[in-house]
Amino acid sequence: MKIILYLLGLLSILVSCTNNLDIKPTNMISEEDVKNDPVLVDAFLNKVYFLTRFDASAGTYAYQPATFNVISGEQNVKAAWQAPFQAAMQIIDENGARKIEDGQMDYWPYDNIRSANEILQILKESTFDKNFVIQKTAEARFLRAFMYFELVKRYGGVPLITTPQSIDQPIEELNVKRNSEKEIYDFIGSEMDELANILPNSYSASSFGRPTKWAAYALKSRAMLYAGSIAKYSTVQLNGILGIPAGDANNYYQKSYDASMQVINNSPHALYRKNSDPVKNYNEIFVKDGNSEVIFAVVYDKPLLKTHYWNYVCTPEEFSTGWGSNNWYYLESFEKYEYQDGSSGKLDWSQLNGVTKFSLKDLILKKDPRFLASAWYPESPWQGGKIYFHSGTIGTIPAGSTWPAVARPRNKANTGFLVRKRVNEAVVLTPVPEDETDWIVFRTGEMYLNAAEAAFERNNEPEARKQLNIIRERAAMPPKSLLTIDDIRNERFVELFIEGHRYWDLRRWRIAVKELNGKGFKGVTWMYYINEDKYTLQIKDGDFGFIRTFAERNYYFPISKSRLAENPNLVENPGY
Amino acid sequence: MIKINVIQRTALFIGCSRESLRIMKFSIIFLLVIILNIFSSKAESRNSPLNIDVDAISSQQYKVKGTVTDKNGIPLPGVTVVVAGTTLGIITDINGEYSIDIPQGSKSLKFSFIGMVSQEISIGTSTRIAVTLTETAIDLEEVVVVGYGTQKKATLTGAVGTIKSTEVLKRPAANTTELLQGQVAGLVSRQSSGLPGSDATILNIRGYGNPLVIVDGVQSGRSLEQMDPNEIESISVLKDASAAIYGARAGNGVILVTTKRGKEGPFSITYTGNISFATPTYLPEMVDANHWAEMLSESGVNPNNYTPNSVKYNPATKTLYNVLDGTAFKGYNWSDAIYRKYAPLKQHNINASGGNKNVSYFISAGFTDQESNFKSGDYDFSRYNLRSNIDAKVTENIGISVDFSYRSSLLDKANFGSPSDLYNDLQTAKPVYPVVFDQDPTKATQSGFLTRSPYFDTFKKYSGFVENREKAVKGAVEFRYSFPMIKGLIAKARLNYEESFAWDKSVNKTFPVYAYDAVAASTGKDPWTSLIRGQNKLYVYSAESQLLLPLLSLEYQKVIGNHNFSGVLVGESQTFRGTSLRGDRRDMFSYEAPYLRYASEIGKDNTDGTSQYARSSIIGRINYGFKGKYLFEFTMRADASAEYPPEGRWGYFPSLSAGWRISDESFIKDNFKAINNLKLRASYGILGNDAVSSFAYLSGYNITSAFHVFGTSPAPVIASSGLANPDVTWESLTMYNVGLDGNFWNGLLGFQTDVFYRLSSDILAIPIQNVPSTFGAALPLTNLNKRDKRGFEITLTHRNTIGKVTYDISPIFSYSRGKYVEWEEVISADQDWNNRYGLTGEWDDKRWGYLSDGFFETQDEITNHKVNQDQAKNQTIKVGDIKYKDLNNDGVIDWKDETVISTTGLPKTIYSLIAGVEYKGFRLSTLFMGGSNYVISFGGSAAAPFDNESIPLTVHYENRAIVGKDSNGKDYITNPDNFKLPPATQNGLTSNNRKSSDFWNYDAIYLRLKNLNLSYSLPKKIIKHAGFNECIFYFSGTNLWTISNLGIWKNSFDPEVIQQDNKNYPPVKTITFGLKLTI
Repeated sequence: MKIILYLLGLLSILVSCTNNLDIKPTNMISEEDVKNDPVLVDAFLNKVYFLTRFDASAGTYAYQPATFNVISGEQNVKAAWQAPFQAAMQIIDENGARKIEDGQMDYWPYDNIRSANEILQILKESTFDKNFVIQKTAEARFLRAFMYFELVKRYGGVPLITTPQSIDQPIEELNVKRNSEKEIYDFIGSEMDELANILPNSYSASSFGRPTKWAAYALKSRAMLYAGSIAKYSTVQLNGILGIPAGDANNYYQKSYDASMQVINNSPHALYRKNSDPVKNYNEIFVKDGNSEVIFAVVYDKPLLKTHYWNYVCTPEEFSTGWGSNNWYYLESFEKYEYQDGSSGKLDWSQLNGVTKFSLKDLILKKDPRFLASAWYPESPWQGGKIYFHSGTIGTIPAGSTWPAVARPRNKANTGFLVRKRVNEAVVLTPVPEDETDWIVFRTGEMYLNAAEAAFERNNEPEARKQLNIIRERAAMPPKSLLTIDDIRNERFVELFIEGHRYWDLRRWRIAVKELNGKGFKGVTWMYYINEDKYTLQIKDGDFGFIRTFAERNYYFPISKSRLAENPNLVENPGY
Repeated sequence: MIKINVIQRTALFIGCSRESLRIMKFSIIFLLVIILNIFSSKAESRNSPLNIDVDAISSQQYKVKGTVTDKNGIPLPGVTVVVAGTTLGIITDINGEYSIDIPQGSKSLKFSFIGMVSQEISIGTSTRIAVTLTETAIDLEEVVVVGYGTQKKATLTGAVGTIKSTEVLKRPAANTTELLQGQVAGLVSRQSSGLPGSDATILNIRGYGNPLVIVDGVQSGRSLEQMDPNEIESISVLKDASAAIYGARAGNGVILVTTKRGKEGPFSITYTGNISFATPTYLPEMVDANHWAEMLSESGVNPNNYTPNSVKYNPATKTLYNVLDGTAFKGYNWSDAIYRKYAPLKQHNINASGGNKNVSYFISAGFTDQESNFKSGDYDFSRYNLRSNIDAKVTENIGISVDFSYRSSLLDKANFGSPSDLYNDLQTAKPVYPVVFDQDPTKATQSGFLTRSPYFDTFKKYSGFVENREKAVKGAVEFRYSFPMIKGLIAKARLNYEESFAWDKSVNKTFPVYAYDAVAASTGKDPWTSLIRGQNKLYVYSAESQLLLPLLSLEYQKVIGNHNFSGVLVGESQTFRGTSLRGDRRDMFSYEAPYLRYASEIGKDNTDGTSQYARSSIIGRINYGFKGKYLFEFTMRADASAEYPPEGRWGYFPSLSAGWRISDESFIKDNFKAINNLKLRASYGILGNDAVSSFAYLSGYNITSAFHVFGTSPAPVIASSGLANPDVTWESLTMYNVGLDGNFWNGLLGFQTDVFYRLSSDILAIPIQNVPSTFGAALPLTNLNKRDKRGFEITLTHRNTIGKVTYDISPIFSYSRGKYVEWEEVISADQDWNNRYGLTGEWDDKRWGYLSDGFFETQDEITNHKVNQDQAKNQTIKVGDIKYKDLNNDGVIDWKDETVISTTGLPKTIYSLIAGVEYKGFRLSTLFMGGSNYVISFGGSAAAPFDNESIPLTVHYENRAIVGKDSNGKDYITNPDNFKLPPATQNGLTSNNRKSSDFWNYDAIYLRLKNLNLSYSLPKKIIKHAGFNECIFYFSGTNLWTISNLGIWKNSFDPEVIQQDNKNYPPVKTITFGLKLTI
């Protein structure tokens, strides 16, 4: 008996000890608290901003921002192991069954879309200040449309979900079908039409980075241009999930043109023309944060420790502080820039034989100022010094000359020209990657090119020429006389080089197979002849011995087996 | 007198160490030892054994004296001598002598000593009885520590492996987990790095996962690896349902560590000291400068684009030369510069133990100093361990224990980032760049890869430093009360308290890294150019935590005739709370003042954190034995964890086991004399694993560290935590185990075999079949999945003495493998896809990949190849590329051609062999260990030359294909008969060769001499005069010899490292000289 008493005593002590279990997690806010506090709702909206992929590719780390530039064949990176190059080479690997999901190209942001939908619902049911509700609702809708644009340009038609689904809904409802590509583009178009009337003209400096009505027009301009070219160049497949009837092309081009002209004619976002020197002027578009041309941007800020790696990895070895000389022009990209007299930039490759001598003056210094602003080339000035690329100097270097017999190892190793665009010369590099240059999502320059392309595709060549020549005139390039579609596309390449457009342009024009498949892009080796002050160029492989592939099916990414398996109502894109 | 000698002698040893600090610490401990000794000897004189049981001593008594020795005639101190049938007893002194007053009519004396066969000798009329005790061959009396108690090995019903301190101490190791390697069947322990402070082995029981480690009743994270092995009495490994007594945390098995305690016996003090020299087991050798240039040239890159100005490549001779004087250029070896051959490891421990009937104590102080193989000497780990375990019998019924331990460690290293950062820089350091300039050795030399200087990075004075300090104070107080009215009932109250501290400081420095242009120098120009390496920043981090673990227990034991009952009931709770604080700054004003307040305000960042958990438990166990033959055990544990919803907080973990000692049955006993022991065991239990979720029953919004920026203001971010699962609970693990133990011919053959099966259910997973990803919210973790493990273990022992030679040999073999029983996964309409990616019903360790099928040796072979290997009509395939088998014959190589090429994870099959031989004072023991059925993957710069600009390895140079052009300008392989690797390419492997295949993934097998130990114990006769009781010199070597099936890689890579990318400090081999001295 006594034992039992002892046992009972022991147990009672123990049970009384269990209140130590009432612990709450220290990093969580309850749902109710959030619904009742506009500051927290705004913080939730900040999450949607944070996770929306505005940059052309995922991530700010080192070489990541170059991903789509490499896939598109605009530029290359330092080494084949770097993710952008890997992505470019692996695009078709493994039948797209899995690999593509690991890459940076896949983007399926339904979690973030859900958050936007949840915010819209919270706002709708809230008793917050009316203006707050209107403004935040508009921001959330803008972000949601932006993400649908990122989806439709990758996969074609995707499920369009505009309210937060409930877990209690029957599974048949949750297993949504794909809407058509056209429906997604129409959704973006109509959302932007509405938002253009709701979103403000501009914000105070402290809210820079939120979408204005002009951002809505800009997104519409771009999306409708894409829709137009899908209608024109692609065929309708999968019962309309992919493709847009050809008859709609003109309509979309018109919408795109109208939206572009809204920005061009009515917005405060004039083309940037602060400098008479076109090289300096073009360069500053990208490094003067918040200049007039910027319609919408992702803000980076060094004191807040929100920075990226761009200048750190781009800077040539002479001025680098730990990485450097990472991003390279292909020879083919170099050739796309015309000379200042309007003549073609194409070179006779038989002359790039290591024998024929060129003077820099003829070969480079007369190039389109946008090239001179976007590249480091032999002897290009930088922060009071010069950047060199030559693998050797033939002839005797006079005593006292500062001429280096040979360039830095990293400068002579790759394609021969380094990418300088978006690098701010005014910033002296520290040993730390801390570039605070904003990432421009929409700028007015694109609007002119969108307008030109849309007009041209609607057979209004004179209007196209008018808009295109404004861009050329700003760059101090002579006007074009009679335009061809190739002129427009080349101008787009040159003006929007590595701004995240090329890859998607190649796809919507349906010319990626022609432009990329089986290709290995080139570079050059420079050799300097000091007595003549001339260089020879020797053509060389710029793709590390790799061959690119782009198959017809790659015009759409695969939905992927796992997403198909989880939802039997989804259908896969052709060829996967 | 002897004691003074001890001081002098010990001081001499201490004097050997240079730092006076250490002398001081040892002296303090030593003083403590002396004080305690005096205290206990006083206690002894007050309470001599003769006077304890005053009542029991009748007036008529007489003295019996004698000496107890072992079979070699060496006196045994500490042997218990008891008058049979009484509680009268005494313990032999340091010379093995005893003298006992015994009452008239006493029949016999019982002599017992752990590890020896007890003897009962009838007294008769003798007054002098000399006894020789022999070692037990079968250890049936051996006591094994189990959860919340101890049991005799003979009546144990669970699968429990044990390691005794004598085994643990056989070899030195800075990291105590290393000592468990190869000792217990089913305990897997693998070491993948020998870097000081990061050299812990991965412990795993039967392939289950991270086991629960309990030190003296308290769950311990890192404290086993940081224990001084001299403090350890025994280690028990609970492999089956016997772990169920630890309930919700024990699903992966339990490792129970028990520290030493004092025993009734004479005072003894032991010094153990050793010095070891460590060297990497394997270091991949990089090619020299000329071979580097040759391979670079083969890869299609002009070496001159990577060389300094003064060095050029001559393609005709395939060699480098100095431009200035035309002489041959030899190059530099960065690896040699960074490493020294041997890194010292010094360990000292001094401990004392003893006690009388009332008070016993064990105190210990240890010091470990481990250096790295970096020549800079700036990577040291040092640790102090102190322990004091004191037991006292306060009254007849009340006992108390006070345990105290303290640990303090410091990892003090150069700030080169993570080892992989350093190794990345080292493997890209071009052999054409000097390690140190002849022209100015004080200047950091750039390695030819960016502004890196791996050599200077290993020096604190250039790269800065990191200090990681850890301290842990642990204390426990225990009261025991034996109920006077109920014999066999003991109540215990114990309070464990632990306080841990961590304090880190990291200072990153910048330093100029120079390039030297010899050509410029020759023309009189300034040859130096420099770039800044590193970043000026620092952080300070501090963390502290408390763990409080009160425990109450009742133990009861009762024998009624043939029925043997025992039971224990325990209640314990555990409360943990930790906080941390960290401050980051950039741009210190001066490296001489590396303090937060002497740094820039820009980029300033502070953060804090808290974590807490709590659990309560009630534990019970009942044992019943009938005639010692039929054994039953039932345990039940109820656990409550704060991380689960209040309604479902309690979990119940029962287990049941039974044993049948067949050897005690008369049909065995009478007919098979050779069978000393034969026991059949079976166990079943339900265990938990709660280390898998935290507050998953709550939903809301998480505060994140992420932020967006508008204008110039940070915009804070909160993120939805996803849906909650109000029913979330533990993973539950059902364990089955059947075992057979035997011992025949008095130890000539012993065996222990076990077969086991574990089913894990309620494994948390996100339900994916229910909702598609377009739903957008992460579904809550739900107890969904099931997987299992099955396997078997065999341990054989053989022990024999032939003449004066005693030897033992013990092979151990274990096997374990698991399956996904039910697995939440997407089921595709494509059956091929399900076969490839589906998991349910499959082995859980399948490594998929392509089967290689030789190489493409000519361009024609590629052109004529019928299989579309790159899915681009082979337009990207080059001569020398690996060919893959088209297993499904569909003409395309894609994921459908992947097959299982090996098994991932730990070796499924583990074997070890412990063998020893003893002759006079000499003892040689060896431990061989090996494993198979696991994969070793070669990747990165280990697989391919020039991966991320890395320098090729000699193995690449010697085995590569060399591609040339034939007369038609087509590629072909010029060395078709002696290549084993694809040709060198510009940036490592091409995407074709990089595919996961059997080419880079070896189904590995290895065997190594894990340890060899040779010791010599000086003859008693000699040392006795010097006042010593024992004096052993030993030599020990670890990882001395290895064989593996790694083919061309076997001389470059260690088979215990599974992911070979040449980016970590390899395991080390060590040789040790040591001394053990007991007074």
